[in-house]
Amino acid sequence: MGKIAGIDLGTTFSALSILNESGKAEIVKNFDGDYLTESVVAFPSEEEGKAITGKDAKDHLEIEPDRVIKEVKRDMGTDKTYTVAGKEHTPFGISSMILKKLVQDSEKQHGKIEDVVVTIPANFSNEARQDTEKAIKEAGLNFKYIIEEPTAAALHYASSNSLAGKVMIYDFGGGTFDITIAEINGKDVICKTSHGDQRLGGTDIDRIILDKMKDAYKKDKGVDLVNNKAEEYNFTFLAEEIKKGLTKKEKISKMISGKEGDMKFTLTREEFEKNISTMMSKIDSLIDVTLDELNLKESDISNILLVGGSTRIPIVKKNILKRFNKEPLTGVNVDEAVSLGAALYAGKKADPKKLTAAQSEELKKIDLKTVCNFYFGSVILRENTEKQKLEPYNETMLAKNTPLPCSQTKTFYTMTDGQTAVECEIKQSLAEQGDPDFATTIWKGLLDNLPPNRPQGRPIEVTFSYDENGMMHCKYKDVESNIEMPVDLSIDKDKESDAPTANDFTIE
Amino acid sequence: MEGILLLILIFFGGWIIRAVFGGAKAAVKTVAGQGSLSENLQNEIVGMGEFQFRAIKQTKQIDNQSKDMLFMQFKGLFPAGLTNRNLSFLFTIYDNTNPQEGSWVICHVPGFNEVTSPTFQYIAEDIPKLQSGYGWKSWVNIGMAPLEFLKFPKKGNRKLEFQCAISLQGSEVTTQHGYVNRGKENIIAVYNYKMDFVNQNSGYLEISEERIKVEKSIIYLCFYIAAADGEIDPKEGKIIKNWVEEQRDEAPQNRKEETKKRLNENILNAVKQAKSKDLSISQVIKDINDNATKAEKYEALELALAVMSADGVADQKELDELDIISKKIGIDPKEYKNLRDKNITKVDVVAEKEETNTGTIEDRKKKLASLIGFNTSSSKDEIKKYLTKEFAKWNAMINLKDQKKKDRAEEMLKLIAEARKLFIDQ
Ligand SMILES: Nc1ncnc2c1ncn2[C@@H]1O[C@H](COP(=O)(O)OP(=O)(O)O)[C@@H](O)[C@H]1O
Repeated sequence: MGKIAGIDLGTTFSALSILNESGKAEIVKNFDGDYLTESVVAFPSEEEGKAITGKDAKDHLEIEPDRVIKEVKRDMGTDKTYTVAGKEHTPFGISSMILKKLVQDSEKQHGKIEDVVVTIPANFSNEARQDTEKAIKEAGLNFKYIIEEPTAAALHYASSNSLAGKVMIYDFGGGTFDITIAEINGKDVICKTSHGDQRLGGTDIDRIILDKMKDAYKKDKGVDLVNNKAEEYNFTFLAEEIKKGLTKKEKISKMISGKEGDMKFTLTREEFEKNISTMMSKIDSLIDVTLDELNLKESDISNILLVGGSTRIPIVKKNILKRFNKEPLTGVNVDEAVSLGAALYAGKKADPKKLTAAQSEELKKIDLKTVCNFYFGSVILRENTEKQKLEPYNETMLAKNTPLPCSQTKTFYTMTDGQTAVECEIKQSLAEQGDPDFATTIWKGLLDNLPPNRPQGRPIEVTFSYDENGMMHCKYKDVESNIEMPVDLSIDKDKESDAPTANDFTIE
Repeated sequence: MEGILLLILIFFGGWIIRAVFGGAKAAVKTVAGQGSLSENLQNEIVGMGEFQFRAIKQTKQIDNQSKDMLFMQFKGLFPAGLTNRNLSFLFTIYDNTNPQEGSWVICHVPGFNEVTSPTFQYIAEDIPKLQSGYGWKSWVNIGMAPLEFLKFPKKGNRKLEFQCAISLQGSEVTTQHGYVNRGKENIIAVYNYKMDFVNQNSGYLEISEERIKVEKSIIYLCFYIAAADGEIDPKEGKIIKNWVEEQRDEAPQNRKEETKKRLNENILNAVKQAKSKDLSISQVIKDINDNATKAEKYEALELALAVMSADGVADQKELDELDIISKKIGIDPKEYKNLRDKNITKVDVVAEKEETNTGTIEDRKKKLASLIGFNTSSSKDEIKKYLTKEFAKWNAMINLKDQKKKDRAEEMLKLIAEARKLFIDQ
């Protein structure tokens, strides 16, 4: 029987867990013997046409940085491409290679993987979600579902601890910061809300330290420390080392050597904390927003769970303690929680016939309830009584945090006599945004060929629904003629990328 | 049902709605139908008189607001030709004051105009069948026009003629600019009514004295803002120039020259006064309050905000000025905030980065407060609440496709986090 797996497709590291015979999630080592695999792909010049993934790819940064692609997760859902030796790569193409490496490494040890669930940050845009689906398909995997990282972590914690009440999941990784509030009620895990920042993570901290090193060197030696990409990467590694060192020590000194010789660079924890203070305020602001949205106070939070490597930074715990008057929960491996939870979710979503009796029994102990992660709206024309004019308005159809599945129908009216077409535009946003300019358009089209010669004021029914798997369905319908237009918001199956697929680069 | 909400649509006639009274039709219909039809229905035909038509100005409460309406009414014994049939009443209004100038009465409200032109028209089809031997004892409202949205050729005394053409439902009569162009033979009866009327507002053929004053105020306001940071940037000037050109282009052919001259004079004086710091903004504000309509106030403010953002930086002084001005001309704070944010997304950089800031902490705090839009003297709690709201809003924009908006949103988030650090944590 095929295995059921959960994959944490991270910005800097990825991990894969499988559901073992007794229904517990278990993290799998890669071929290098590590639980975490670097989310890096390299195309070495000595083996033109081949791709390497993981640790070797990261090591290749020191040799040919121009041929290494990393942190693609931040570019998912955008049009960004990376060119290596004349070949263009897309963020989802690179992601698919990482997925393939994880799966292949696991399959060689534990057998064929049948179903996978892949995790995404809670605030991933619709395009980024679609890109993730594309990556899964391009990797040739049997796509099951995607699940949000904090949700996966909550699931894992709920299965491994006896937690209750409102739990805050603080996920601070390599590239992103996410904050989620879930309610754990016996076996039920209900995700209440999530907020996050896709550009706030450990690598940004490394960059801050790197900038400090550059400034210090320039001040001392009068020349630039970093002159090419390879040096940039080398010193970024060093910056990361210093950062990690400051977790245990109050002060770290390192020799940095540039064109004008060596220099001793020292960073104290106190200085470091000052340098990242605005970043920490940003995290606090996100917590403000999250609590405010649910109308909660700090004291309403019963537990704080830490996820992600960057939560090892001492100031993180210190700030939490100060603000919530509680020690955050540790003890579980923060780097692994997400993929473990994803594997459990994959089990919950798998065909029950494929599960062993022990697995079914074990999985009964948890149950996940999710909410709508965005506001979804439809653009209408509405009179702005204050400005005395008609204005486009983003009318909310589904509100953020509505328990899934959910559905809503609203009736609007045509505006002129003889109107035979209605312009339909679907918007998505993280906050309620009446102004369409401030919300993302995820679909646009025409409900046309409506009967001619009708007076204005014909009812048009608009229905938005969101299913439990995070998929949106919309329908626009002219009530009188029954003419309707369903909207398919899943990925465009015909649209193939021009970029090479993972299959062009076989991994050995 | 949440009033009349309208979907974005494809326009047919090619004309574009400017000022509209969106919810009017639905709201007005209920007023008209408030029992008056049946309550007045009488079979006591003695002394009821013949079937008559008139128009009358009346004030109605609609959505808790007093609205002046012109009601088209009938009373009297139902004529034999009209009874026991499904009728359609088509109402038109002509302005006969000076037929050479044109007689159209225009109304840009959906439901109150022709399919192919903005000429006023109202069709009543939901009238119950008139029974023979019955009549209306008192005046009954059948047609109506929202007065505040009617546009006559000129201001002052107008000679209006109301017409009601009655035909059978399904045998359509269509009109073009108020005149029947198809289905004349289907008309069963026509009723006319003449009325002398004083139009308080400027007509569509003329530019009002108020508008001339408002245009001047807008020019002065914008140059005042452009000069608030010391220099008038060519890009700021360009925004004003574009707007002025639009005004000239909108003027009728025979008045283009005079319009251009007038606007240019305003520009020259405004620049001179703005540069020498003699421009009295309180006078400009007073003129706006005396002469501008709500829509014109928004026109002024939107242009001034565009001027603020034109040079690519969100200037603290310019924003501070605009915050005050928007309050003084009575702009709704929520609408203002939205317009302000929109313009902030248009600049190239909101403020220098925290790392490269060289000023004092106090100056930085003032600057952050101006850019984010709060008062430094507010309490810590209030500031925190405000920052939370702002953070949620800008954070929702980081998924936008428009790279510029996205970058500004990221920048605003950093500034808000910095403000939180400086105002709340320390
Ligand atoms: N001791 C530590 N102190 C500070 N940062 C750490 C420490 N250990 C790991 N990190 C940081 O954690 C990040 C990786 O976190 P992880 O959750 O694995 O990332 P991802 O977001 O890719 O899943 C890296 O930026 C790394 O530098």
